Formats: sequence, structure tokens, C-alpha cells
Amino acid sequence: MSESMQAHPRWLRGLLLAPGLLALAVTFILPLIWLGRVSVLPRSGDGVSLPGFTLQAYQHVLGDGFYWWVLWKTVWLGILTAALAVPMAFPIALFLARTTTRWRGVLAALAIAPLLTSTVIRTYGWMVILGRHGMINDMLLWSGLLTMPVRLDNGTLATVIALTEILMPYAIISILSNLGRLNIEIEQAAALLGATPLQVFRRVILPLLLPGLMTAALLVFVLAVSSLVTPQLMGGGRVFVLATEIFNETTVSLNWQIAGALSILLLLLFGGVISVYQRILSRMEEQF
Amino acid sequence: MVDAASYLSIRNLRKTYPGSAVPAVADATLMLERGRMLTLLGPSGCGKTTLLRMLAGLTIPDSGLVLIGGRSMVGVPLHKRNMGMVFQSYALFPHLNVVRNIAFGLEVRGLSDTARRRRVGDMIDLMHLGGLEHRRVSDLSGGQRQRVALARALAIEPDILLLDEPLANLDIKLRGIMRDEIRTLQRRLGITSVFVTHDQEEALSIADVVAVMSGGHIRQIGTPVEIYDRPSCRFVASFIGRGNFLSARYFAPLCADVDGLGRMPLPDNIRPWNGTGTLFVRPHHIHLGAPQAGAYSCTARVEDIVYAGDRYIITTQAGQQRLCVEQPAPLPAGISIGQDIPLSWLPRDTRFVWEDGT
Repeated sequence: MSESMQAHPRWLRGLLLAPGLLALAVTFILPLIWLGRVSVLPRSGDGVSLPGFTLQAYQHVLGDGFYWWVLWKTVWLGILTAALAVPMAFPIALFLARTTTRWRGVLAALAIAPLLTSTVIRTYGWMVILGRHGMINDMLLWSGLLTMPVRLDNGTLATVIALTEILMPYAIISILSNLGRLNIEIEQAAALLGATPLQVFRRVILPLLLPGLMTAALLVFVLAVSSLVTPQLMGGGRVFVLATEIFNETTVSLNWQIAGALSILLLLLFGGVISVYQRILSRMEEQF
Repeated sequence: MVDAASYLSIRNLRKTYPGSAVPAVADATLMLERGRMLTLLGPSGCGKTTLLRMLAGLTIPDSGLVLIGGRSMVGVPLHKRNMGMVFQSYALFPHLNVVRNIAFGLEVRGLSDTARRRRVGDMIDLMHLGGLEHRRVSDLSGGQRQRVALARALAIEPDILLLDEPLANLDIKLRGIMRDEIRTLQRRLGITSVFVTHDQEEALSIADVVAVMSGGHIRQIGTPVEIYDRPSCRFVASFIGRGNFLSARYFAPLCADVDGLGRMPLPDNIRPWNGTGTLFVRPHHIHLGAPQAGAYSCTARVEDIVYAGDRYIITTQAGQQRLCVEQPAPLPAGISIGQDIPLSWLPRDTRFVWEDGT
């Protein structure tokens, strides 16, 4: 591989990388620098940013128990969503990889088709299902199990349910892309060596797919933690996560310093999670 | 007591894959003594791998029986079959190192720690894998992977060892070495084995019994010598080694009338046949120069000479009949393209083979 890379001059490689790097610089790195800069600007009494440098926003955020609580809620939401979405996506992905039906292509397309609709629409869909006069309440009332509708649509539970469904297609794609490691002959070899179907699953399928499952979990976690629309709409103003707080600070409170500081903190959180993930993954690889 | 002659017994095994008009394996029947090595030999698509997979339980036969040691294997789940299988792809567990690959079958059987360690140690020694115990299988060479696959299959002390073209992915030199090693090991352990290959030299050199297959049918079963020396049909004769096929009519006792070559003496083991039959002579049985006593002789024109290291392959035309001759090097003086030379062979080197499908 290094040989084939040597065959191309350095400038050509640079040229091919340039569009991507440029796009990243304009859409990601520059705004990030700008964000970092906003977060350390002093702020006048009437909310105007002044030139200078101060860590006031960070002091404010880190010194306030509320933001720690929000941070914890955010991480908890991400963990819960990942813990629900990945185990549910796994059998679907395994089925799609294994099935010999001629509908396989259609089924695979159906599994990821929800990605074609906007998150807003799907969140509203869940509101229709879980709402005060929604499907579930109607059914419970009609069956006589309830005399008064219950609130299902506002809160952490509703947010987690909606996020799980919304993010599951990503988990399915991520796991599917990893199933190539699993060769049917490896499973047959295990079975012929005396492994029961359960042992084949536990000792061969699961360890081989663990890295893929972890990648899927990381993906769902990151997407859940950074989601705004779903917690905002499903939470009914009662679910506080970093994304909703940042949104509030930028559009309602107009305190860009705080918003910037919270954004940088969220970024650090992602960095921390990804480095922990990398460490676990490399340890797993070593162990096998 | 189980009859030694039929430790492995296959009766009328049949498999037609969905959507296929012809069976992949049609009424395969054979028996194998305990401790023997059987090779299933044939071109790709002949059904040999399907037959092996039916033995292993990886493919479910439409009908027929597989008996091992008198026990029917029909419906026995994979993990209860106690069979060692070496896949063409080796199918090693990529997430486990060499030792844990070999130990896998023992671990799932719940063998005690000490017994397991001893058994794995024995396998490491047997397969010369010392020093590689803790390597990942992805870091091994093809030959080493092959050894791990064999060690893993043998560790469980299987009733039967199944090998699906195990040498196909090795380079030609290593292939020869591993072939001899598998043969030696198989004899030493006395393990009943079935070996699938499309390589006739491999099949002849490794087997006690060869079953030649084509089109889903077993065409002939016999020892390597029988298969080579007394092929039952034209397919077997042409698939194993080279041959000259001659259309002939039975003329009189010990004499045939051959198209393009005239009267030819026959050995006394060929019985009369009706209509046109096929006679068959191996190229290395054809003699250049003065004929021996009692030999059939003719004159042929040299059309091509190919040098193959230890021998020459000479293509000649005798009347309307093309004859291929193999001559050990060096070539006798005065043989060149375009020249007429005398050819001869002894009646005892003439075989009669059935045309395919009869």
C-alpha cells in the first residue's frame, strides 16, 4: 500500500485532499475557533460583547449546579438511548445479513427508510402516538384500563422512546457494515467442533461483532446527545439537555458567551467519550 | 460389532438444490473401512463438495443415509456429530489466538483445564506449531493456518476427519509438503478421513480409496492403482492422466478392428463387445523404435514434440488416428517433426473403457 502511495507525487495527494480539507475548514474549524473566541469575550451589563478576554462564562457554567445536572441528564439520555437502540438494531441487522429471501433488498431499504423523513416529522409522529389524546391513551381509555388520560408525551421517557426509534436506522447501518467479519463457515466450524447454538453465539458471533456494536453505540450516543428537536418537542420544556440549553442561550437569552462555553464543554465531552471508546476497543483487540 | 468394511457408509445420498433441474449429487453409495483415507475426486461442479457437506451435516440430503460406526447421522445436529472438518478457507476464529483456536472444541465440551492444556500441547507438538501459541491467526502464513485448522479439527478426537480442498490455497511447493504431512498423520493416527480435491495427482498420492465423480455421479471407486490402471469409463480414463482413445469393433477373439489403425491384438481380459467400443492406451506405454515380441506396431508421422523436463510428449498421426506418446528424456536420435517413426505397444497395455453414460 505504501508503495502505491509512493507512486503518486506528494502534490497530487495534497490536491486530492484539498477540497475536503477546505470544506472542513470553512464549515467546522473556522466556526469552532469563532465559537471559542465568543465564549471568552467579556459581556457588558446590557448584553453586548466587548473586546477582551475573560473566563467568566466558564466560571458561571462550571460554578452552577444546574449545568452539572444538565450535563448529567444529557449523558444519561445518550446512554439510555444507545442501550435501547443497539440491542434492538442487532437482531434486525443480523436478520438482514442472513436472510435468503428475495425481499431482502426491500427489507433493508425499509429498515433505513425512516432516515428519509425529517426528525421533526417523526417526532411529531411520536407526539401523535404518545400524546394526551394520542393513540395509546385512546386505546387505554377505550379498553377501560384508564379513566383519565396519562401524560406520556412530556418528559425523559418520551424523549428516549422517540430518540431510540429515530436513531435505530443508524445503528442498523453501522452493525450491518461490520457483519462482513462474520463468515458462515466460521460458525459452522464452531458448531462442528461441538458448540451449541448458544455457545456459537456467545463465543463466536458476539465477540466478532462487539467492535461493530460498540461503534453503533457510540454513534447513537453522539447523535442522541447532540439532538435538539426531539428533546425540545418531546420534553415539553421539562427535559433539559446541553443542546436545548445552548439553543435557549443563543435564541432566547441571547447570552452567546454561555452558549459558546456550553458548546465547548459538549465538544470536550464527545472527545472524552471517543477516547475512552478507543481505549476499550484497543484493549479488546489486544485481549483476543 | 461394527463391520470394519463399512465404518463410513453412504447409501443412495441425493441432493438437488432448489431451482436446479439436475441433482448435485445423485444416488451416491460407498463404504469405507475404519482408518482409511478416501478422496472424492472430480472437476469443479461434479458434486464432490456437496457430498462432503452432506457427510458433515452442513447440507441436508433430499434422501439417503450416512452411517458412521453403524450410527445414522440423519438429523444429528452439527454439535453432536463429533466430526473434524478442515475448510478450504480454514475458517479459523479471527478473534482467538492459536492456542484458543485449538482449544475451542475442548472448551465447549467442558473439558477440565489440565486435560485441555495437555491435549492442546500434544496438538501443538504434533503439528509443529511450537512458538506460535499466542499469535493471532491473522499473523500466520497459509501453511501455519492450515496446521492450526488441522490441529483444531483433530483436538476433539473426531470419529471422522473431513477435508474440503484443504491444500487449494497453498503455493505448489507447500502443497506437496502439507499433502505428505496430512497423509503421514492420517496413517499414524489411524483416523478415517474423507478428502475432497480436484487435483488427480493429489488424490492418487494421498488416498487408500478414490471415488471419481462427475455430473453428480460417482463414476468409479477403487484404489489409486485400480483407478489409474483400470479406469471403468472414458471420463475416468481421461480425467486421470493422459490417454489415447481408439474407436474399435470386436473382430475375433483377441483381435479388434480399430478405426484408422486396422487389426490390433487384445489382451485376454477384454471380453467381446457389440458395436463400436473404446480402447485406450496410456502415452507412456507406447514404445518408440523396434517393436517387442507380440506387440502391435504401426508407423506414425511426428507432428509436435514438447519438452517436459523428465520426458518428451510427442504428438503423432498414424493414419486417421492421432496418438500421443510419452518418451523419457533424452529423445532417441533421429526423431524430428515431419518424420515417420515406428510405434508399438503390448496387448496387455490396451484397456477397454465404456463410453460415458453406459
